[in-house]
Amino acid sequence: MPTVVEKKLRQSDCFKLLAACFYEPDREMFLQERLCDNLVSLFSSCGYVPAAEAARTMLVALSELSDDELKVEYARLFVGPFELVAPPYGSVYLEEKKRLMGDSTVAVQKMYQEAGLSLDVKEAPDHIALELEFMHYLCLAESEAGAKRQRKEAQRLNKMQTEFMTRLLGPWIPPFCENIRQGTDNGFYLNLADCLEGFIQEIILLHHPVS
Amino acid sequence: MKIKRRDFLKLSVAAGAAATVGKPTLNAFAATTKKAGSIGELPGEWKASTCQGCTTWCPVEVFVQDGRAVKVRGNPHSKQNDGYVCPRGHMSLQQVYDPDRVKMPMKRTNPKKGRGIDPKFVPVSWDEAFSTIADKMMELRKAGEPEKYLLMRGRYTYMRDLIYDGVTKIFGSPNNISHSAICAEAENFGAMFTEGMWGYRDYDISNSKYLLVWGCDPVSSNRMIPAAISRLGDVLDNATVAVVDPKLNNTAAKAQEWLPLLPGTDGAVALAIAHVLLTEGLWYKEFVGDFKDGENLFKAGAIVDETAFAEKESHGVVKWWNIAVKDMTPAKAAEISQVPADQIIRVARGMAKAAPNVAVWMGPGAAMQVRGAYSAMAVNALNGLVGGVDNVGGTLPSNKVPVKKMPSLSAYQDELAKKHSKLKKIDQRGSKAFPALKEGKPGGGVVTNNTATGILDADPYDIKVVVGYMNNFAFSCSGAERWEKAMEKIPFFVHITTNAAEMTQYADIVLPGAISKYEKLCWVKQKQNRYAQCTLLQPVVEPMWEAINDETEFPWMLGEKFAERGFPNLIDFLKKEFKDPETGKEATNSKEFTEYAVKYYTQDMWNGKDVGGDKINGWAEFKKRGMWNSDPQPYKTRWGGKFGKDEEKDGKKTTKGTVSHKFEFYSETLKKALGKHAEKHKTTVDDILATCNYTAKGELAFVPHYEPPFRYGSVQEYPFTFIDYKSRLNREGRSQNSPWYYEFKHCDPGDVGHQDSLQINPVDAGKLGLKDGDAIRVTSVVGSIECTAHLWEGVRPGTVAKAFGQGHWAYGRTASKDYAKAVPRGGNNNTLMPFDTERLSGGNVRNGGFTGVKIERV
Repeated sequence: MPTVVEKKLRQSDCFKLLAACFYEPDREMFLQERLCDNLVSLFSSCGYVPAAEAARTMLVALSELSDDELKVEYARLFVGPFELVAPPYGSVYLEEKKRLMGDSTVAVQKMYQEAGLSLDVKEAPDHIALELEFMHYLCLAESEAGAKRQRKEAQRLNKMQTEFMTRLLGPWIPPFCENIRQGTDNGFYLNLADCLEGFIQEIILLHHPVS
Repeated sequence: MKIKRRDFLKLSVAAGAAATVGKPTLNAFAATTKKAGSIGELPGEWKASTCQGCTTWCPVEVFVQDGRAVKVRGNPHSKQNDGYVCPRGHMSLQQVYDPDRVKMPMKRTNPKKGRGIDPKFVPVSWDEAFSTIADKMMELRKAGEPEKYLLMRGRYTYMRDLIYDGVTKIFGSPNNISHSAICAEAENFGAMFTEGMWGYRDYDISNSKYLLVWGCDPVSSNRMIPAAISRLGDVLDNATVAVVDPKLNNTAAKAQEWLPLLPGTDGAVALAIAHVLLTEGLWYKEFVGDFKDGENLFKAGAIVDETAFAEKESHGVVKWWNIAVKDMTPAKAAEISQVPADQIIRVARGMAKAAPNVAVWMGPGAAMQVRGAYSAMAVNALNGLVGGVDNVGGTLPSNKVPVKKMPSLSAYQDELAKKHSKLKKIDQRGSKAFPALKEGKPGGGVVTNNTATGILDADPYDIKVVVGYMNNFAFSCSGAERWEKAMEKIPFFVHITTNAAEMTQYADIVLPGAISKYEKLCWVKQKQNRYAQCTLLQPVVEPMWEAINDETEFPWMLGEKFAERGFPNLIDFLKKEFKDPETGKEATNSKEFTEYAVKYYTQDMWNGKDVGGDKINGWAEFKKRGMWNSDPQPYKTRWGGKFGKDEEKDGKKTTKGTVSHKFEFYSETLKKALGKHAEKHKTTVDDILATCNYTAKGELAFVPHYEPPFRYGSVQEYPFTFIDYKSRLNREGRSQNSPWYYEFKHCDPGDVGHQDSLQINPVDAGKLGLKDGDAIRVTSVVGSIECTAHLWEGVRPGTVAKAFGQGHWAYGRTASKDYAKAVPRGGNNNTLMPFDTERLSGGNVRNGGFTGVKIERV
């Protein structure tokens, strides 16, 4: 049985590797670093069955698709330059007018700052990759506190995750993933949507334990 | 966005290994030293910039909190907008935070180009993007054909010199083509060939006693919008406001008089007003002069002896009367224009009573017509007849804005560049059919829309490399589909833009442009309410993505790549000629260069030199204030024979302004210009006018006169005359992806929110069996669009009106219905309006009822 710290570490890695999937794809690097294999084993070891299944299919798709196919589809879905098929920004889903830099974005920035982090990339703060990476950081920090038996700090970090997940990241994952599913037939990204949504559902449950 | 380090993909805990917590591998974050909790708690700050939503170019301030722009107001220092902005000013917030913006350089991977064909863009680095562009351009120089490079300029700031002239001429091409002719060049023509000024007028409406607005809507467009909004109420109290426009616009809705003329009959109404003023002896005698013996000889239909009249500030009033005015009675004009004769008489008498405190505010509606040049002259001539030119409450030229000129390029042009930058231009200006008489010089102006012809016909040669910035001619030029064909033909096209649009569909490289007002550093000048202004656009927020300043950073980055390829001339020019005026330092990167260049141009307004106007102590203060106001424009500066001035430079004699040095009712200036053009093509002025689709012959060519409107499509087949107008929410064609555009569309009279409406008179709708809200297809001789019928009495029977702006088939999520399938949201007016130009000025045609349409229910 994995310890609590180990579980948290695995979650942290899940967030990180999922974040990586939302960067500009580099097929060779993804394959060399066994990105999808690692996702499969992480999800499996955590018992996240649907996410693991989806990651398995991502693995197959990655081996079959060319780098160009991945890049074109990535751009079409998440970059533009025309209509963004699946805008990867929280505010598009959380703000009434679907603009960026809304109040939800400020809330996201505030949490980054509270965690002692600042952005080191030229991107809107509520980009999916950034928000997932932030969760990776919080999970890792929590497990570090846990390993050092700093219970209060671990609790504080866990509370931040709950707030971030339930208020700022969790709510927009279903419509975002639906946009991807409706907007592509690319096996990698189609299954990435399932993988992300499946995983996030599990995490949300953790932060909202069924009474 | 790329993964910066491979470590990011490594697991923190290896499978099967015991968990040990290590340092986090971060890709997008860094540890911060900022005090926690400061976001959302620090007070914000008003930061000065300039709105470029229209050509008012309002000095503004943006409220920035936590690095986020949240509110916009007019710059309190502004003597132009009194600290207020119009709806456009606020709307821009939805542009800067538009998720569909171009976010990074991208390249096309699908070589096939066309509407509905996915270009398959992928992100590329700046280095790859600029290396590709430089390689393509240098190939042209190597082949000895640099003229095959074309720069297409859209909405510019006054940093335009660098990309427009600097890059193009040092590289060696004559083809720097501006958008200006799709703006309102024919309007400038009207001012040029009466009062000798190729430019837009200022209006002293605070002191007007009569304001005659012609073919525009000052509270929604035409260069002093917030000023007009805040003053119109007082003007309505203190003066009479009359509006000549086939459609009931905002100003007309409030005005005491609305003259809904048939589109394109402006010349007849203007002449009839002149007819009343002259026959009733109501012209302003201090300006125009009088009959020597005091008896008014202007009798309807009667020829007058020129020697009987002694003119003062004007030239040729009697000639004008004899050639064009004497027969245009109000009754005749009423028959032509459908404006009642008694209304024409009433307006003329009202103007006379208020003279000289009268402003005739001419807009593009009076001018941008197939035969609009003479209408524009006729309308502007009224300013002369009532003495409102350069006068209290009238029309004014602008005070000087003391900016530096661009340094000479010649030392940086090699032999190839010197020779080839003088070749013929691709827009065919100056050819027999396109006189484009800017400033009175044949071929002096641009014929923007005809560039597509040049490209399609490879005449005078084929174009191989094109850079376009902040333009979208495949949507914004009439006969837009011609541009699609032209763009398909261009082998290599670079589009610098904030949002991908129809032209981007044909791009090989897309570069993200900075949003003006929020992310750019540059300057513009404008005038309103007697004050000229120089105002800075400043980066008040950090762009979310890496966007460049098109006019300064593009030249710099290209210059660096040229230098790597053995052609350092461009970067040398930028470095050596735009040193920091304060420290003398050369720029080392594109951002520094931008700042030094802005400082170079504007230095005299902040470096302690006495140039009048606001006193500003240094660059830092100028940036903080964001603007400089001139002293008020004095009145009557050109009275006393100063409407023109003879100059001699390098032994060459030229005239600036009018040839007679007076306000010309008989245009010696146009006579000279047309004569030169005819001589160049070894033909007669009559032949030139016929070639340019005018009916005038003989002396009529040199006076403001009435030309019957030219219409595409027979009345039998296309019974409705189409009126195109500008929405008060159009932000230089870049607001259609903003949700507010649709939400507030009803602020245009006769428009409905969330709808692209064709306004149709209920009488006509009844005949067609159409109900309000019916989906309709509108068809002209060149194209067909679908939109929604809106029944409205603000258009006269027989005419239909529609705001320009909607109908994008390639744009973002809000502006297009389905980009992938190229399905537009609404319909583009330029699909209906055929390609044509007012050839004497080069102006693109969009007014004057030149398009007949038929309407069917879908």
